[in-house]
Amino acid sequence: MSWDLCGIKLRTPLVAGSGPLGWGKEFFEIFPTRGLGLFIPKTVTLNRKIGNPPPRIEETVGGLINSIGLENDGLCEWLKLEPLYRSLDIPVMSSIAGSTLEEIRKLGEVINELDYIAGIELNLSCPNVKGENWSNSPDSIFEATSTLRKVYKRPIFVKLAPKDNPLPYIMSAVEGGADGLTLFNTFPACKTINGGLSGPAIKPIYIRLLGEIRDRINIPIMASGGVFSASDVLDYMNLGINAVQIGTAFFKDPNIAEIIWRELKNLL
Amino acid sequence: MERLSTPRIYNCEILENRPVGGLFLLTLALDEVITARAGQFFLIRIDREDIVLRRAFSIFDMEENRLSFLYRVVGKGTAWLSDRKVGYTLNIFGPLGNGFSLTGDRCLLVGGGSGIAPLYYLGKSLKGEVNFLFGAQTGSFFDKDLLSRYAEIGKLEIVTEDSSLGKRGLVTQYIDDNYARIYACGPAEMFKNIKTDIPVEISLETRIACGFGACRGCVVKTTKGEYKRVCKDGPVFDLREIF
Repeated sequence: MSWDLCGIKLRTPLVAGSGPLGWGKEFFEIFPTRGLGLFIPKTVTLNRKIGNPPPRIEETVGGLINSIGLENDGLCEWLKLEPLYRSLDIPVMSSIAGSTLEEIRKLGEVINELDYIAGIELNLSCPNVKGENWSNSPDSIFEATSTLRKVYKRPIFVKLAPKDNPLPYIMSAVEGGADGLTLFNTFPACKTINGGLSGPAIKPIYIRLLGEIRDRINIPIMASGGVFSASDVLDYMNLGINAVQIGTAFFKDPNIAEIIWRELKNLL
Repeated sequence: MERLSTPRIYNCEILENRPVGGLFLLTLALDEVITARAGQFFLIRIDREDIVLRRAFSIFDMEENRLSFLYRVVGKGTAWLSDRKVGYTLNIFGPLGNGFSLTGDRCLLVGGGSGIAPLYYLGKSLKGEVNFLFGAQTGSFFDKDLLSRYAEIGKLEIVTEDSSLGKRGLVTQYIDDNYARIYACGPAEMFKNIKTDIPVEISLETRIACGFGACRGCVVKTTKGEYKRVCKDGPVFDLREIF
């Protein structure tokens, strides 16, 4: 069995989504890649970002609100992880975000030279960074995507925010040159902190949104939202989704990919 | 320095899980003997579909392959945990975090409420003289047998707000400088009121997601304005680094 995302070969359809595992250093010191088909490190920005003030996480019924604010040490530090990414037996896709088109272009130019990075996930939808949510307008999605397309030659997946009637936003990414889509980022929510909701609570919403648009789009889709079990994966795959991202479930079981894959491989 | 065990996932049977005063004492059987430092913690999985995060508990005691935690029921997660019976298999992940430094000839170990939990294993691990200073709202919070376990390894003084046990007031009123080092665990209010010139190590409590420093969910702001990860840079910090 193997899966293909725009030429990127995956041994399982399970993707470690961007965020929960950071850049992977701490995680892969403890756990193997077992069960995983692709690793997407936490979003990299051109310059270091210190992130949002605490508290940054809060549990809800069946979910988790987070407001990390894209904390990361910036592109220069991330480039030092080349030995780790080369040592993994699965492909690595880079998640990037920029606050300007110029930042996106620079990130794309640098990463285009990295033969150990299989593709880019363009994060246009972090709900926790003021003024950087490109996902709110089809025009800015088009601009950001086409800016990256001009400088980046390997596959681009555009990660969008969940929207009621998401088709115009998705079409802008496709027109901008996206090879694939990651649908969707966390759902904007508030308990005592404002942030993005993830976990089992959002899955029914995302299943509905994806069901409404899947047959109108003919490029690969990675789904993201509440994948905690093999049956969650099948729910997405039954909609024609090409691969699924796991996120919050890593907090419940750091070896969740292995657990899901053990069951899933007998069901496919 | 001792070589600490790499964190891993353990499935362990509950040997005891019973109320001790205002707390619960949970003892588990590990499938191997591990090396962990006082102040390190484990993440315990809550086997409910509506709860996505594990709960973090610092080590209360470790003896051969028996691992114990002392915890307070504060919400749905700990309520679920307190309902688990002997024989239930818990999924735990650890040991995680940095732990206390084990230095100082004459130490004061200050515990506020459930903050007494990591101080037993710490007291056992310290080579020098150990003095405990524990506080709670009322005396019934402390189980007599539990206190005598602490008293076996050090001098023990109790403070309660209603003076139903020991001296009246707050532990912070009874801290003096006649020690080489102070170790403290308790609520933030307690840390803020520790006034002393000697080194103080504190163990912080917060909601933790990944537990190994990756997700940046559990950060705390330092006095320098930086963010530090409670799960990886801590949970033990120098008092002045945070307050």
